[in-house]
Amino acid sequence: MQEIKHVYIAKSCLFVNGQLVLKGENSIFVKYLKEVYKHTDIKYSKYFKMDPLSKLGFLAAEVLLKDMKCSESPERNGIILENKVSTYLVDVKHQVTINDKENYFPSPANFVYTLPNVMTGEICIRHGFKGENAVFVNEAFDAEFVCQYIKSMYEADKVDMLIGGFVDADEDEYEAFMFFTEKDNVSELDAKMIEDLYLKSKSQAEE
Amino acid sequence: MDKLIEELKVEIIEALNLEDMEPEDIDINEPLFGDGLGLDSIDALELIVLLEKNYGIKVEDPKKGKEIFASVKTMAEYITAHQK
Repeated sequence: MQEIKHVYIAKSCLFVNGQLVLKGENSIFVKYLKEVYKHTDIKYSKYFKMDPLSKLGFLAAEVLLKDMKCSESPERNGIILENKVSTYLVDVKHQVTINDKENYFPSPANFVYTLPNVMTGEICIRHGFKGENAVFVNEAFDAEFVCQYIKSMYEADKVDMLIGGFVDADEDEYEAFMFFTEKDNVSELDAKMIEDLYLKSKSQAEE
Repeated sequence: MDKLIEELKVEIIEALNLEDMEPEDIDINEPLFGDGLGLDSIDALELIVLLEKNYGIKVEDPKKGKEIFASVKTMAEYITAHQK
């Protein structure tokens, strides 16, 4: 059985299928993301306008989808993610701009990112996905829930390819775990296996 | 006017997160939208906020936006003419 392709980004480390491919020189979240952006070797000016959560999800998807074949029908590709603190970082940034009624200058560029599904929207725009896409806020990554959701999409014949995962960005911690699934290999998708891949990646990053 | 133009370039880069750009990369006559810097509608709103926040100028008529934000030079001219 072929291992499901998966990507993990946390603690200034980028893992692909459990292999460390980029150990960051910078421990600051956004600066490390810039290193990952350079590593992906893409030119996508809209990236710089994204909030940290979207940047993290965008880069994880970029690495995950490299050399992978998606469905040729945009409507048959999608993404299902989980997240813990929603868009906390940009919410705080936005709040600061509207706290003072005498100095009330909300930033449109910040405000548009105050929903976690904008992150999946950015990924869908980049890769031309028009199928199912959703972000569920949960206390922690729930492999059982995500896998069940993905399987139900395949069983209902709604999609041919789905990315699953967990992407979260807080003040102190950030983490992205994404895995690639296809309708043809849905029988190989097992929640316990996905959870094991996630926990193994997490423990590797913490070493 | 030259000082204002240089200030504006820095403020635009900061407000719009144009991280790859340096002030000298922006041609003052280059269109900000479309073929020039490739800005979008959210950026347009951000520029309106920039004018109000940094220069105290409120763009009352959105139709004038196209004219005001045609280039860095037209923005600077608008600021010079309307700043109190």
